[in-house]
Amino acid sequence: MTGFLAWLTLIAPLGAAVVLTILPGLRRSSLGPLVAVGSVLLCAATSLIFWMGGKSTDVESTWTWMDFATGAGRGIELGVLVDPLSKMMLLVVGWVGSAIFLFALGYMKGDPSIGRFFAKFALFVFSMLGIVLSTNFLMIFVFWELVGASSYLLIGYYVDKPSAVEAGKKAFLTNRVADFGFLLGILMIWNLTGSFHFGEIEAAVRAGKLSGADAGQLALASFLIFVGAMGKSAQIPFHVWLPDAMEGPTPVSALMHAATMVAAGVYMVIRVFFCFEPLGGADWGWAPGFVAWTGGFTAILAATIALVQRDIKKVLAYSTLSQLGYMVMALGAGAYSIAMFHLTTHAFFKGLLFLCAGSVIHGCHHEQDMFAMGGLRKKMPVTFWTFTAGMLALTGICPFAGFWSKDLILDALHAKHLAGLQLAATATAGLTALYMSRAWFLTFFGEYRGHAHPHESPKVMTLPLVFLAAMSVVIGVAGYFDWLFPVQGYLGKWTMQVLHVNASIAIVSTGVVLLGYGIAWAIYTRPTLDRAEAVRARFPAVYDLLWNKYYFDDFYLWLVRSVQQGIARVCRAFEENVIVKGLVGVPVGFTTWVADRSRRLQAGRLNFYAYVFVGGVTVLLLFLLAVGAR
Amino acid sequence: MTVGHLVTLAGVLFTLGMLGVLSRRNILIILLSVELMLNAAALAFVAFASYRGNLDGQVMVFFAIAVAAAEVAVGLALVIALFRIRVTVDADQVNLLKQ
Repeated sequence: MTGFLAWLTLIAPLGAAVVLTILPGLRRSSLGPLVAVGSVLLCAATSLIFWMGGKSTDVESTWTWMDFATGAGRGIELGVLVDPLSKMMLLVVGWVGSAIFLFALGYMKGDPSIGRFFAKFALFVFSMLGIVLSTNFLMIFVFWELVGASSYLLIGYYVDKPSAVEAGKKAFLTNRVADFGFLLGILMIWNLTGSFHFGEIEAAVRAGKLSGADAGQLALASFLIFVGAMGKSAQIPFHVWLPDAMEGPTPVSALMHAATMVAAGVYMVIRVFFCFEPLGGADWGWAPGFVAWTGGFTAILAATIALVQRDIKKVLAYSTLSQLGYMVMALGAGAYSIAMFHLTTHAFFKGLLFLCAGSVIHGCHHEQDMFAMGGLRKKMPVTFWTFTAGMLALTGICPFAGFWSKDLILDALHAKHLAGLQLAATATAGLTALYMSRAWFLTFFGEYRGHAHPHESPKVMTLPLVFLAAMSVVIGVAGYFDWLFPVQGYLGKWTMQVLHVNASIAIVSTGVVLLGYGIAWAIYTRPTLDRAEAVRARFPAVYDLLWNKYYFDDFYLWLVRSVQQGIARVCRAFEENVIVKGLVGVPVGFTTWVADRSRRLQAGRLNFYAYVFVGGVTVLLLFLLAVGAR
Repeated sequence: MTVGHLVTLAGVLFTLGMLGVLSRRNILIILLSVELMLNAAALAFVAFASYRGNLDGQVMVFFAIAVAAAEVAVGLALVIALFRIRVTVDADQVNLLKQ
């Protein structure tokens, strides 16, 4: 029964996408979007059933797609795995996804191709559910690529907007580069353990069958797998696609950058955490350290870039990068359940913040520049209060959700004696407060600086906001109860558990956060924004560095234009001269020459044929006479 | 009249036929020349049969005549079909393969 429900959860969004694609009548009707919404609501319902069921709903159901040999474990299997980890992720995808789908009903209303939008949206959810439920590396890789493909479709949804199409391509290509590392990692793991199945790999690693050299290879394989996670979870240096992906419709940004796509990388690492702790956690290797420092750099660099963004969605995009950095830091510190906990809380409050931004953009008639907003507190009260809840959760003010999960991450870094990372994480907390309250003050306080007539959004959009805001307030407590957050008990057997609030760390981080609020209050609450200009004029070099995003994009552009184009030119010269002119051209020339010569034999004149015939017979006769005479 | 005279006559007839095939342009004349060559060969068969005193060669001639009759039937049919398409019996005009 549970297996059937799990398969149904996975297939339903695909069914919605297929139905919407092949039935143009349904796609154009007002019923079309509801089909997609229904499929996600089903996922929300089943996730609740699984979660309430506790151990009784744990199930693994597999179906052998291709059987290569009679020996076991040599075929390709598709399967669904429901365990505490995937249950938690299903809850996130199902409930945050449902809120976002409902919001999209209002946000996309009036769009001429709303049916196409919901078909792609459902396909995206299907891909994500495939990652969540998969039982083996091959299946997760297939859905990994499906997420990449469907994110390309969604980011480039506004097909008549060149920047959106470019952003879609950028996201797809960046992910492909990282996925190559992922694929190599999967093949290495297969080579070491002879299996793609998570359970079998875990058993092989835990049984200690891998000798010393194999452990080194396992570290390399886990590093390569992490490279795949870096692509999807947008870690430096693969982070460049995420801010550009804001070109998609706001519900897409919310779903992709809160609950699903960027969470996929972190989720996948948690799913295969046993690869990152070779030999039962005794030997750390170099991979976890690399993971932790990647997260640390991403967290603090993205937070500083967010300080200077003008586009409200870009602020949230860099904030997402920064929070993903936190999760990856937790992964590197071996605190997998804490990373999952932060992923869960982050999904709710970041989904909320993105939807609030969508509501603001909708209310201001598609204005995204915060400097053209202001004073929206009175005009959009629901959006204001829900945004405030989301902001407090994100910046980690007690008792909102972010406080609990962020504090646990700081604790974990402290417990592992990663002082540098702890410092970076604390500084990032302050920066988070600074850029979020900056956005808050600029958008909702002061006088309105734009030219539209802002209005509150309809009920279908504000209700999901209220739901997510309520979750952002209460969900932080869940991490401290095993029955609410089963991942802790599931992973905690092997990984580090930090279940208490360390008072000194909490006080320091809260102090830094309040400092961030204070600075933003001093700069951005002035009606004319003259202080903001003054700060910018004071530090032009810093501002330029941040505004140009540490020149990552320029560096990649240079890399593509100079290095890659140079290699391409050499390849092209080789192809044109050696392959086309040499390997192909010479045989072609010879054949043409032979054909041109022999063409004259086929003159089409009867007499000529007769002469050749008689000549041939004569030669034959003379030959026979000569042979006969001997 | 020895066998040598007869074979010489056959050779002369064969050569005449061959020259006709090579030099004439009219398809009907070419066909007639081919018949001449066939009959030259038949004459040589008969001459050698008479010289050796058995009937093998003469039997072979009957075969040759039967084949020639069939060949003429087909050949003339082809000429008629060709004439219907091209309205000519000039072999030089029939060069469709070249084009």
